[in-house]
Amino acid sequence: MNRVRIALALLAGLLALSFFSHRQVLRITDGTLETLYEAREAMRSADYERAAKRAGDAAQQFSHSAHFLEFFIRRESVASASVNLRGIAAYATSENAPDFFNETDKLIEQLAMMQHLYISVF
Amino acid sequence: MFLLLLRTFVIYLLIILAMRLMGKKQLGELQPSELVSTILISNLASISIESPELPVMGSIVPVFAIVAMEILLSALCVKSPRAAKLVSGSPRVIIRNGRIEQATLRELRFTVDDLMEALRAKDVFELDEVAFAVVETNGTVSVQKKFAGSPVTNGALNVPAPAARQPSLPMVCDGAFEDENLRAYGLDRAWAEKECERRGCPVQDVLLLLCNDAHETLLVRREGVR
Repeated sequence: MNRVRIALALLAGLLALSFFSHRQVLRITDGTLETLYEAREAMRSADYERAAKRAGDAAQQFSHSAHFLEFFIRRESVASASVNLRGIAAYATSENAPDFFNETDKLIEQLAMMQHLYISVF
Repeated sequence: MFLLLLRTFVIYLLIILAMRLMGKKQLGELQPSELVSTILISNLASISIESPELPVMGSIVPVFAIVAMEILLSALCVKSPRAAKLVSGSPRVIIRNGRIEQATLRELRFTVDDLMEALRAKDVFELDEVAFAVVETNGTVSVQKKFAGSPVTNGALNVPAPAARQPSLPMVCDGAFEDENLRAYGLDRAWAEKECERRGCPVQDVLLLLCNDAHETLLVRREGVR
């Protein structure tokens, strides 16, 4: 009977871990996405300084949580997103606006795919 | 490389823990569900060791989920004979009253060669010695020989029973007392020390001290010790 209790506790623990990781992955990626959207908004308003700052904030936000994400998501995916985020701020100028939007589009898709692969059943 | 070493170490310890949790049944002859879980666990564990880019949780979570399900399933099978039959199947008689049940053999996809091999594994080389043979749920074959082919027992020869009714247990093992075994036969460490002294061997030099319920002892001294 002890083993049965341990098994039930184990299952409960695994479920709790799954819910926790699910929430945390969503929180981190959604937070980064929100900051990226703000950067894009600033870019549209030609506020390049704010766009660069928000892009830098998004990169920092993500890399701060990268070690945690690597427990649950492939390290290559996390590293790739982290590296790509680092390069965005450099495009926050009037001459590079199309590149900025192109790169942020790709990043948004990358983060959305990360969420989809981690969270979706199919 | 250090990370690979660390992951191997962690996974190894966790798999030992998983096997201990599942219990001795898993290490003996396996039922179908136990075989499945053992194969899955070994594959999952190796994934994390072979592929450092994959998250460790990708192995740990499914391994322990399988362990938990295996324990719960085996507990369910203990409570419910129907569930046990569904999960593990039932034993099937393949030789009854000395006759091969050919229909059952065909159903089980057991060839005659398989049957003879299983009988030889039970030290039966003559088919007409067999009264009953059963294929168990774990795939092994249990055999009951006919009376004429059965070995003679002490009871049949009226051999007087020895003083000892229970097997010898280790009382001292590699210089250390086995307190549980001492208590089982109503003994204690003082008795063990006295016994070792009587045989001229200090406890720390004892490799093995065996004793049965009739207090008959056997002492094996460690080699290289004077």
